[in-house]
Amino acid sequence: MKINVLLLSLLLITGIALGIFYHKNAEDSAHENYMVSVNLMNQLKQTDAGLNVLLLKSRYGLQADYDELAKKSVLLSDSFAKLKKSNMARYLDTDISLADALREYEEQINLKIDLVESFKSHNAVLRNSIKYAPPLGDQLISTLENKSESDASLLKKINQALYRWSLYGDKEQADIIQDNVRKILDLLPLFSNEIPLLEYNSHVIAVVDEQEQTQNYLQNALAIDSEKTLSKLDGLYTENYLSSSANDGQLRSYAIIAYGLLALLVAFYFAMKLRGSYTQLEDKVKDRTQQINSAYKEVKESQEQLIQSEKMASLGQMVAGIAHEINTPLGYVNNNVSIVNNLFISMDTLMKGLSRVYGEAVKKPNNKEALSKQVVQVLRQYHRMEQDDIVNEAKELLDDSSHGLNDISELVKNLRSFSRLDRQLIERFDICEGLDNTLKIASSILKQSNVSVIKDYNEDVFLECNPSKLNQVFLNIITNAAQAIPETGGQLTISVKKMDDTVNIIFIDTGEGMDEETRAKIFDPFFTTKPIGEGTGLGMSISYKIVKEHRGQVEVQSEKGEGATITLSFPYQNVE
Amino acid sequence: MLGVTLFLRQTYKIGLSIGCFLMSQAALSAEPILPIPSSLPHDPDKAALGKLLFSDVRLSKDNSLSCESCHFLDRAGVDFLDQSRGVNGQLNKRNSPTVYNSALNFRQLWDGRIDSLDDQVRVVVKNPKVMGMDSWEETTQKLKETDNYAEQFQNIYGRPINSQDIQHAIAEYERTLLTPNSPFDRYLKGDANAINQQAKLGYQYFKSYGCVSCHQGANVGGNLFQKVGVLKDINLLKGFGTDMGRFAVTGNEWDKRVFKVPSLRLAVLTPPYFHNGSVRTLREAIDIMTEFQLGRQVPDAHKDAIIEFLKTLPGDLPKGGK
Repeated sequence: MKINVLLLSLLLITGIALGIFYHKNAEDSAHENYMVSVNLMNQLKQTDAGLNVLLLKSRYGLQADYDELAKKSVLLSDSFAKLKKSNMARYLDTDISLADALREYEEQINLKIDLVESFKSHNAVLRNSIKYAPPLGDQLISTLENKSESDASLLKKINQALYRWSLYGDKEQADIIQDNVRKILDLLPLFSNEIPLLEYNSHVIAVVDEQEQTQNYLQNALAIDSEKTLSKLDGLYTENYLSSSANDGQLRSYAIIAYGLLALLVAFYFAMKLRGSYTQLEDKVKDRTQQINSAYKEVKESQEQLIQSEKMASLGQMVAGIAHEINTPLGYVNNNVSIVNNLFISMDTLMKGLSRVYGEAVKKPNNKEALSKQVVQVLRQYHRMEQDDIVNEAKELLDDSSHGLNDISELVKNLRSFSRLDRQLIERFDICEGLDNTLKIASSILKQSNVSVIKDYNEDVFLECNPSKLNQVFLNIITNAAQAIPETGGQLTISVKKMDDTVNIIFIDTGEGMDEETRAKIFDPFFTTKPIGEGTGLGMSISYKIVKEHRGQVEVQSEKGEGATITLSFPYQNVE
Repeated sequence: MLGVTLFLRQTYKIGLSIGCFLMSQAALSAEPILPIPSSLPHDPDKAALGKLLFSDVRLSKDNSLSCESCHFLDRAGVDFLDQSRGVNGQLNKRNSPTVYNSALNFRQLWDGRIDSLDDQVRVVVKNPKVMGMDSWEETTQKLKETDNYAEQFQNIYGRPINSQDIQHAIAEYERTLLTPNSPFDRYLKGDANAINQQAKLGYQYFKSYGCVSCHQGANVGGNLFQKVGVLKDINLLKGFGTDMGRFAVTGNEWDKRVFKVPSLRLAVLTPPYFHNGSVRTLREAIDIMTEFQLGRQVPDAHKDAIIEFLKTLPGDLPKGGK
């Protein structure tokens, strides 16, 4: 009996020791700590993306106050301060590359916050001057026009360049302003009241200086690839966490094996009594399963947040493009309408002349001299109009305007059908229509790289799917293709083919292609080959996820320097 | 000739179309000025403790000054001096801004070198020209020995009294010092009769002359930096050329004479004006701003309307503040 008691107490003591050890290294609290840092990094990523969107909105006048922007900057530095003190700190001494990445990220966001501050100041000044200078210039021109045509033309030149520059922002106009701005003050003797010209001079100078500064600060802020550094940080941190928890796990499993052996030994004597410990083990397994489930849920949630932040980033990139697309036709339509309006004034004068002739003819039919004088006057007027080709000009202007309005409504239509605002519903989706819409949305980036698009599809092919998600996939692939094509130009061929079991959508570009390493990583989250500030590295990984959700396949064929072919195939049973 | 006039009209119309585009965009987004929130998240017990500390002279070296010495709570949170005086009557370099709504500023102090209210307390108490304490250990010790601070901090913060919690309590109190529900805020929220016709006109001028490019958001400023004299050399104005502002913090050339844009929420109640407190009246302040910041001539009638608008900006002072 004595040996039984001895064995029992040995088992008990080992069990208690193991229990204490296990409790001290409790994995769930380690995991919780791990998630705190990960969530902070997610928050930083989202805040950063939101900051970019707000920057663009402020630049293009879509956000009238800086409160949100200021809050984002504060949130960015607060979250970083928390991250620095979080669980990550315990690996900083041992992992130099982690510490480096953290330092690099800190430098990047500090720089970004500084750049954002400078941007805000310059943007405020720029917006005032660009609003005030051009109309003031018009006033000055009209006062000067009667006195000196040649001096008026200098101001006209500057003012015209100002208008164009604020519309299109091309460097050429900036140079025109730059070359002539010093001559403005030479005109001072021509004005009895000098103040408006002095004001004009200082505002033109302000526009030149501030536009350049504002743009520089904005671009530099957007170019900081803090997201990439953060992804690196995230990766390194996760590696550290996994290896340290693997060590813990290994130790623990050795201990459990030893304990098991011991228990087995004792089991010879106490098989019946071991039933108790058995149920205990079962409980432990249940616990662990629950932990794994909740961890899975958390990872899933943060993945969704990431998708959202990717959307925000690409939205920001689009806002600027679309504002420009709409603004250009809007400018000339507005302008055409006013010219036509002007033309109608001449028409009106003509009609009034005619009615006067008619009135004269009715009242005094015999006074032929006066009548013919009037007729000649009207005819002369008509002749002048004919010389100016007014009717044709009006027609052309109106045609031109309706073309512009079509452009705008086309864009708006495409934008609307493109987004279909995140309907999660599965719908019957016309692939060709989707591709057309996406191409329209991507038209500005395609234009940038001079990509000619060959559409090799015309049949109606329908797919049961989530249209906005599929559009997102198309947009990602088309954007990547456009960015892979050098500025000298290239081709993007898109074809839709019905196969035996699947429908294939094939994108072939003549871009720079990918090497094997890039090809292998193309679907990895945070992997990007784009220059800093342009890619989040999430586009293709999200696309991959979406295709998989639709039970589809993605195939990538590419060699360095020989373009790329991306084939999406969706199962036939989805297709009508 | 027709061609020339058409062309002129054309350029002008393009200008108008940009204007219309920007205006329609501005109409789409909200007004540039936002109402002050009725409160910010805070712990009432900690704020009450902070209120005690705010008026406690033991925070200064010679027990002569409290926070309230420069921020009169019953007088719009300022001391009406050009520059405030610290311990031993030392004159400070800059004007004391109001403590009201300071929680809405994105950074603290005129040069924005402090990020948070907590940190502002930390720095000011140790500043030899302001409260003049040697260290926070000294401050904590001093408070510990008197009244029942030690007990209160233990009860409310759940740990022994320490510098971090003292700073936090004062900052927490400052977060309650908001002035919501102003006539203008009620106007923003849809009460068309909350302000008079002249004030509405003033608001339109405030926007169209461009004041609002910097003075926007809930605090009508306080959320960005700006250079004094962007359109005209500020050295032409006596007393404005010497203080280099943010340059002393960053060392960036452009930051010379850059300051935090002050909030205009309580401007009508808090003369004198500017970082050096050199300007006595709001009217003179507007003269300087339109000349040096906007680079424009503004008729007197318009300036009067803008002042009428500024009068609608102050809201209720907190009950505790009276």
